[in-house]
Amino acid sequence: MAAQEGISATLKTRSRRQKRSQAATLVLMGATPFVVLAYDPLHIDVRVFQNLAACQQALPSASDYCNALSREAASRHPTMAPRYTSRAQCDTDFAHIINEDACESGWCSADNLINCEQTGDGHYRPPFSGFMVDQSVLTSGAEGGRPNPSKLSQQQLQPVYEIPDNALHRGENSDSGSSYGYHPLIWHYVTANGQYLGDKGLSTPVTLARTQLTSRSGKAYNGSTRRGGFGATALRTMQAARS
Amino acid sequence: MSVIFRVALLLLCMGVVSSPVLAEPSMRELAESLNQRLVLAPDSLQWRLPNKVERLTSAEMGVKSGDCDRPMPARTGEAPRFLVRCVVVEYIDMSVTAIQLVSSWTYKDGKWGTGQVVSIRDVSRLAFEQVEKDRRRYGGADYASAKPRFSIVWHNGDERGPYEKMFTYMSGAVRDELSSFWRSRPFDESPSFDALKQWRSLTWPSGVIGIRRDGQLLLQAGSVAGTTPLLKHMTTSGALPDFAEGLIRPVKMRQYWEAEVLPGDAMYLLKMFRANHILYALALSDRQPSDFQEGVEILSSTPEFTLVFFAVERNL
Repeated sequence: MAAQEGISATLKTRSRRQKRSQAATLVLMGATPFVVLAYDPLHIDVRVFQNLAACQQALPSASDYCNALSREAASRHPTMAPRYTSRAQCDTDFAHIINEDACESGWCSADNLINCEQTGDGHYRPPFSGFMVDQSVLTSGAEGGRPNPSKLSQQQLQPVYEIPDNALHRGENSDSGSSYGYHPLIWHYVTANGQYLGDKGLSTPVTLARTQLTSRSGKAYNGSTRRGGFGATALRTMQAARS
Repeated sequence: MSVIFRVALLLLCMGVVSSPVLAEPSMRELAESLNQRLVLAPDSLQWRLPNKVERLTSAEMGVKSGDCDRPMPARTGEAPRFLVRCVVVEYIDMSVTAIQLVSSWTYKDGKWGTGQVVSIRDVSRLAFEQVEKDRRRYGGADYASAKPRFSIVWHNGDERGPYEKMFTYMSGAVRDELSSFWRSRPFDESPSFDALKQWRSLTWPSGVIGIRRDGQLLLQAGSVAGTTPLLKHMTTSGALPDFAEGLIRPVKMRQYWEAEVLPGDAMYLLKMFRANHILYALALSDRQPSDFQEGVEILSSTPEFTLVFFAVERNL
């Protein structure tokens, strides 16, 4: 009888333990996706701002922080921007029109034309055209946190560049490298390593693989590069993002 | 004897000097001659409706004295041609309808040919809008604007080109500008094309079809890479003669299934107009008429220059 009671108590205890274990397992199973989704080590959400004003509009409570982020991104531009030995080749990849309203209806000022700039050592690079920030950094900024911009990794903060539609699609349809037919007023955002981010109307966060933001700083393109260069990289990553 | 000889010599010289000179009348004289006929003797002119062969009198056309603007040159040189815009009022379906007639008149062998009507357009709405504007200015009841009672009728012959198309749609302000151009004709008979040859030696980006003296650009679909050398050249001394506003390359709009057609050679841009939301260019080139692509209308051609007119069909 006592043995039976002992067995019964043991079973009850085991049963309670099993129930607790099952409950814990279920809780863990339920929570796991949230934990996994809350931190994805492979992907990152970023926001792209064409200029300081765009950042301040998105983050009105932290306009000074936007200023600091923009300054830091600009300071990374000289080392991260793609470098060209030829102005012509650089302009082929990056020259575009910035203000479509002025140019669509008729004559427009050359001030709307964005060209490559010369570096101190005689190379050419696209001008600093805005910046990209990790969404979590912005969220923190909006909540009063101020992660030091200079301590942010390149995956979290880097300059972005504008590439015209014709450079993006060059060589897509023909071997001639013709850019005829593409709108000169349409351009897209790309990172320094040619990662496609979105078209000029981009206003929502972009999810990217962290590996896509690993930059080989200041990748050099020589003057003889015609196809398979910066535009081709951007096109490939754009097609991958859309497929 | 010597006095008689001198008088005879003088008379002979006067006779030579005053003998009838077979000089061609100037464009201005011809325009005035046609205008006089339209005003004072409209029945001395004959007309032909679009795509018809019968000739009609001014009375049959409903054109009366005072219905037409002054003739505007359309082609100089041999067989000069003029365009005339008339507005006649007709009763159609018990309603007053203002009809615009654009006609083409050629002067050949010392006489005016038949006036070929190039386009017929219902401009009642424009006429009524003007009336309404006047009523508002001076007070009075509102005036309902009329809708066109018929769509535009075009002649399908040689006389219909971009110049005639613009002429059909141009506003009063554009008409004044065009008239001013023909009055002043800012270039001389032997314009220099040295600067133009330099412009042509530069590489033009596919997306740039025009550049003005102040550096403004006219764009179409394509690349703008390589624009900087053009802008830099524009700042050099003597880059453009005084009579030119800038440079323009003729382009032809293509459909998506059509093969790529690159813009033509650069020309001096003399004047640009806008009518019915389309840009038109009046340009000067040293190229011969046979070198021009379809859609470029020749307004004047001499061994020294060719004056052309075309719609700027930007692919945008």
